[in-house]
Amino acid sequence: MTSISGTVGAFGASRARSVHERGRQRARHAQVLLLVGLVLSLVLAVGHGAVSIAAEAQLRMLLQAIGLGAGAAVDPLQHTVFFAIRLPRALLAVLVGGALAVCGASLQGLFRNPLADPGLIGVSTGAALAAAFAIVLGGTLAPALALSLSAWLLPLAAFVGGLGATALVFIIASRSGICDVPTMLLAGVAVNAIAGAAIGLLVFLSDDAQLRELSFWMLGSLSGITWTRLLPALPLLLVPTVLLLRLGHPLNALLLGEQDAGHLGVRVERVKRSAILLVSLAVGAAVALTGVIGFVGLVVPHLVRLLLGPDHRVLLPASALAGAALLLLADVLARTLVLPAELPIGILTSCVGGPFFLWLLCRPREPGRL
Amino acid sequence: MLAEMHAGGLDARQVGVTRKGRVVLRDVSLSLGAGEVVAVIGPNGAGKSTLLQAMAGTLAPSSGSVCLDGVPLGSMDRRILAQRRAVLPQTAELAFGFSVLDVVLLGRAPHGEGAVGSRDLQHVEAALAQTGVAHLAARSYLALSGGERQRVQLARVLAQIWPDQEDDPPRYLLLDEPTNNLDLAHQHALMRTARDFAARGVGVLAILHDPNLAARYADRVAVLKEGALCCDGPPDAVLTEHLMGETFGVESLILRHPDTGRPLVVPV
Repeated sequence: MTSISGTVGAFGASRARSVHERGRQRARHAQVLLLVGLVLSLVLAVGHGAVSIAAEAQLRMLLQAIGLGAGAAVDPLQHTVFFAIRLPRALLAVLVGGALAVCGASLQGLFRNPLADPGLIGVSTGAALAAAFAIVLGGTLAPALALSLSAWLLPLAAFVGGLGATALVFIIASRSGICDVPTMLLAGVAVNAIAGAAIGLLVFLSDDAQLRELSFWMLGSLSGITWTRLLPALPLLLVPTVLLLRLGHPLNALLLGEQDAGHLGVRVERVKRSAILLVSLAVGAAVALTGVIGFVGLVVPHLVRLLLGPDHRVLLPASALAGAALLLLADVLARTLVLPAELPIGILTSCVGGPFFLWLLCRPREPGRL
Repeated sequence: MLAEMHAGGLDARQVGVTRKGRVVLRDVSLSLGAGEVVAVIGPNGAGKSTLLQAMAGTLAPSSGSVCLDGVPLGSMDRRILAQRRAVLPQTAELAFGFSVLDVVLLGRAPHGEGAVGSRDLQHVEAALAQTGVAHLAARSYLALSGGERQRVQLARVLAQIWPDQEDDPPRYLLLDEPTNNLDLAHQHALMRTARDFAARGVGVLAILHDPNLAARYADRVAVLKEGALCCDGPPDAVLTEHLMGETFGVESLILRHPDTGRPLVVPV
């Protein structure tokens, strides 16, 4: 259409390049800032608490642990708190926060729906149902279970339950090898409702102690994590999240619609299948370890999109960093606000996330853009 | 066997499509050569979009086959296929507020997964200028009018198959009602763009509703009616008073364009 816009051509050409450069630069700066923010949050989270550990002492202990730097001997109490309590807990917060945020961003892209969150494909509720089973009926069905084994029962059941629910949703939505995304959304709603009802029934059947354990589990918490519990779940959290980061390109194309993404050479069904599998693995592992932590997967991608735009190649890694930092900070609050008790972290994330989301909905914005 | 062999170009052979027991396309053979503009016209529900889907490789035909340079589309690597043919959809949705530049850059997706290269940007800039949306590059796609969106989508598919080198294999552009939402000036600008691309060796297939646009810009006009191809030939031979009456139910006069000598369909 040169005849109409001949004069715009030269100006427009240089403009396109500068628009592209500006966007890339902004993304780079934001990523550096987020990384710095994450490191600061880590230092704060590891250092803050009943026993406070200065940043410099943290560094010294880390260096000594890998056989570098001698320096002054460290206070043994600090040493124990740092390695046995704070470090695994901070690592858990980083991994779970990052995983939930990346999973939320991926599903929002996949469903082309800004309201999608990791719970949508049934994984959280499925895990919660299995956890409720384990809490309420675990003791009665298998009283012979050794104490060490029963500690594993809950996370294992939750993980399997999460995967099972997602598989069910996926199978319901699939016809002759093609997964229909709108059907999947609706199937997710239905499976969530059914699982919710079953959880309600288990609540009804539970005794007071079980009810309390179940309620706390549903609100999420990072407390009580140990290396022995964290390490087996670590690859399940880390590997799917890293693999999801690589889907930025096809997820961008999918925003045009499945058919147009196909025209661009994207293997749509494969992308859908792998995204759903990876999300259910990561969220399943996260829920198994921490219970249900709401709003991180929903709000963090929005926050990042607001600052950096919807390009998934930027959005996914930035969400990972932001989600990790946010959960670290939320956990610091959770364990210090009502000392000596601990607030369930899900209360904090929902308490901050809910109003933020409302603000997001109310603020003036471009048509159709959330 | 020889008769069944496919010619070069994008070639549909005896394509049939059945959907839920209903025959949507019946035995349609249509070829699109390099450097050619072919217009597909026909009443609503004649199967035009289905034919385009089949020729794009998105829809596997129930019978017959579609080949690109003799290779069945179904057996081609999707990315290689995407480097050689682009499809402009009838309506384009977009869930999030991508910038116009980012939307057009998506067209370069089949040409490399990694960072955006200098050549990608070059082609994207050229495509933006070609469709007259370069000044919108930084705007959010969702803030655009319907016509502007259509031109951005066109820029995206042009960027996808923008010719690189002289000796590249020919590329193909499939346009599904590309003049939707466009004002008169932009409708003609779009068809001139199609002709420009054809002059550079791209084969263009366009579903059109306006027989006069087809007559003015196409080398061949193919007419679909009730899922079957009823004519395929130069506009002169195809666009007759008989055809307009029989196929479209519109009694028309066929005049001659005073400048081009091409047929001019005037409903009476």
